[in-house]
Amino acid sequence: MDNVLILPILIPFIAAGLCLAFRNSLLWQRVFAGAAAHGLLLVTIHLLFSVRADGLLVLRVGEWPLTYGIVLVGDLMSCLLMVASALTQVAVFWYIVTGAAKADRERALFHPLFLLMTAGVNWAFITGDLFNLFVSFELMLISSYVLVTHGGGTAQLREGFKYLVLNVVAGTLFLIGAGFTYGVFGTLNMADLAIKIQSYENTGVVVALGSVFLLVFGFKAALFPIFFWLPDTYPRIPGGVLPYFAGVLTKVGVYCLYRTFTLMFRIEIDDWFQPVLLAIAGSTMIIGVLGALCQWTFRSILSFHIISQIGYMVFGLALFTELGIAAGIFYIFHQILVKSALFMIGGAVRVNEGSDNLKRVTGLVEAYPWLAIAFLFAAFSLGGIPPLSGFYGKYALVVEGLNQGFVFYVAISLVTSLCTTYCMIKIWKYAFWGERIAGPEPLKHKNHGVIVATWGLVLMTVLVAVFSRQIMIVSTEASKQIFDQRVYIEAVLGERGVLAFEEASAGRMTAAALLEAEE
Amino acid sequence: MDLLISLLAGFLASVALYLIMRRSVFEVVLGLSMLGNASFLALVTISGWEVQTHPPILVETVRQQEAAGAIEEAFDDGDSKGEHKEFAPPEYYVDPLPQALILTAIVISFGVTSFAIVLAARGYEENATLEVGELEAMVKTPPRVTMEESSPMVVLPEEECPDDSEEDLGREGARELKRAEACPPAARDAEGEARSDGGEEPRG
Repeated sequence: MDNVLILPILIPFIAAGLCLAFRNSLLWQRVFAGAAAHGLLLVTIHLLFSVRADGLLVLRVGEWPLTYGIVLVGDLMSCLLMVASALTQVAVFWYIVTGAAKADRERALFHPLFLLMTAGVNWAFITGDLFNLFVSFELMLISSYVLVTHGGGTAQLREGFKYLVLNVVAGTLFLIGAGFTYGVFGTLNMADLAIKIQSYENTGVVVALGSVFLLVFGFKAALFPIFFWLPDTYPRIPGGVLPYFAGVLTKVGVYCLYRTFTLMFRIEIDDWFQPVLLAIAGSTMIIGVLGALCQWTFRSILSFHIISQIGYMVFGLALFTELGIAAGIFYIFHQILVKSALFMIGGAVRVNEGSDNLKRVTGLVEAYPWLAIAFLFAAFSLGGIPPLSGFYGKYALVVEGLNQGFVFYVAISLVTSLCTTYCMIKIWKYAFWGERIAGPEPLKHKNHGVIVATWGLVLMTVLVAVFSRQIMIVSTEASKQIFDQRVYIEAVLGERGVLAFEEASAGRMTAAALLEAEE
Repeated sequence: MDLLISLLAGFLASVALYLIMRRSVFEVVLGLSMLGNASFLALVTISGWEVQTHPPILVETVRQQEAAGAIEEAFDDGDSKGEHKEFAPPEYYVDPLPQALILTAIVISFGVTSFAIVLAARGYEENATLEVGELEAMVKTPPRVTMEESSPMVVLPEEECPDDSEEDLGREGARELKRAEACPPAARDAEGEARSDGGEEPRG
């Protein structure tokens, strides 16, 4: 039993409870939240190393017999993403503490809500059955509803309400999808589902259920036809937690797409899901970046860029080769850090200057040279300029895309990349360059703590670039694990499961051969 | 029975969709809870009602029923007569798992609905309206009217509000003025041209 696997869920839960117990003391809340964030980082790094050394970790909660009880499964991909989200959480914690959120906002249940959200995120990364995935999504979403409307400005209430309604509808679809999956296959355990789907004859049903999940996770990840809620909602989220929302929450949806389509709904991937995913990925990339071109605040430009970067990650999945998925995993890891860092820079500008509108803020290079350097690193990493981390992920995606012959989509990704760089240059030109104009009431003291916290995460993105080879190796191993379903099935169900799976796929192959012979 | 439940779920879902597309916030909340109920009903159908009509209960209770002859009677199809059965066949019992799923989902839906109602009420306190359209208009021109009995929740100063459109325009206006003074007219025109593309506010 690998009991340590439950800690990424348990630590933030307990810390959130303690924060609620000490709800009148900001100091104690910070102590618990900080301890939880740093503890999580240590635990997730430990998990990553032990998974790499000994293979998948599986925890049957309460020792219930398999396929009935709750199973937690940690493989390399989920551990990598947990490490990235824990890094972001630590950075965001220091960012909040140093003043990105005003004290009375921070006092009002800010830390416990944030912790509960991270518990939901980690839970979604390591759960091994569909219904738990639904529950973890709801945990994550309920905390996020409160955080989105935290403070209760008019625009926040309006956008928060929209966000809530759309997510409740998507959540209901998820519930129906999970329920009908159980109705058809009689199980919700992902490994068991993989076997049952493999031996299921009616592929139409599989495609229908897979499409429901594509819709639900695509909504959460802000994919092309259903991304519209994101650029409306994200600019209204309180500055303190916005980097975490931007960096991690949408990636949970992407992770679920990776998990669902590599492990379970795989039998129709060539005929149906791959073309659909490719088309969605291409349009998500280009439309996201086109939206960003005409925005004028840090937050709204970056919000549209979230969408466009999601397109790259789904492109990695849609290639559906080992290298493509490895590139996708590397890309998600890099994006979680870079996107959060960029939002932290935007927030730091806002905290210090009172606005992040490019038309109102000029000459930041003079006043905040370190912030400007941080922005250069993060922005060019986002754009994919060679020595920085974004380059490696994009390079691998493009190479694999060309190998597979998807020239059109590769061209779209390159154009998108160019437009991304253009947007970053636009921010640089308007906000960082230019003549500095002192306001009539200059701020009495600049908040340098926020900039230091931001630099923490920017340094991480630089480290990703420095250790890109090692991270790429780990992502390739992760991709090997999730690309071969038998690894996951063997970890959860043992030898017996693998045998059943092989029998099922052999049955499928002979059925396909028979069909061909008939034709 | 399955058909009836399915029809009912479909009917509820259509009512819910109609309500969700209304402009009044309160009707949307009603629609959300109704959509949840529709999905619960849909889930009820997957646990199989047609033949599996008995609750899945503890073995002891099953034995008691067996002793009383209840199970024997229900499955009295001739050839099993006289044989001693330890357990009734699995088709005899309702699948308990969908019920557990529904129970969990009901609890979650309850929490979300109550939060949605609080959010709607809070919006009403702030803006004295439940219509989405009026809220749109209000965001464009920041509200000056607040209800007398405002809630005891902390109302943050405007500057701190995350929405860009509600930032204090005073300082920014003065800054624009300073900029105008600092630049000679020709340069200012050029700069004005360069910066006039695109709206002043990023999004409404």
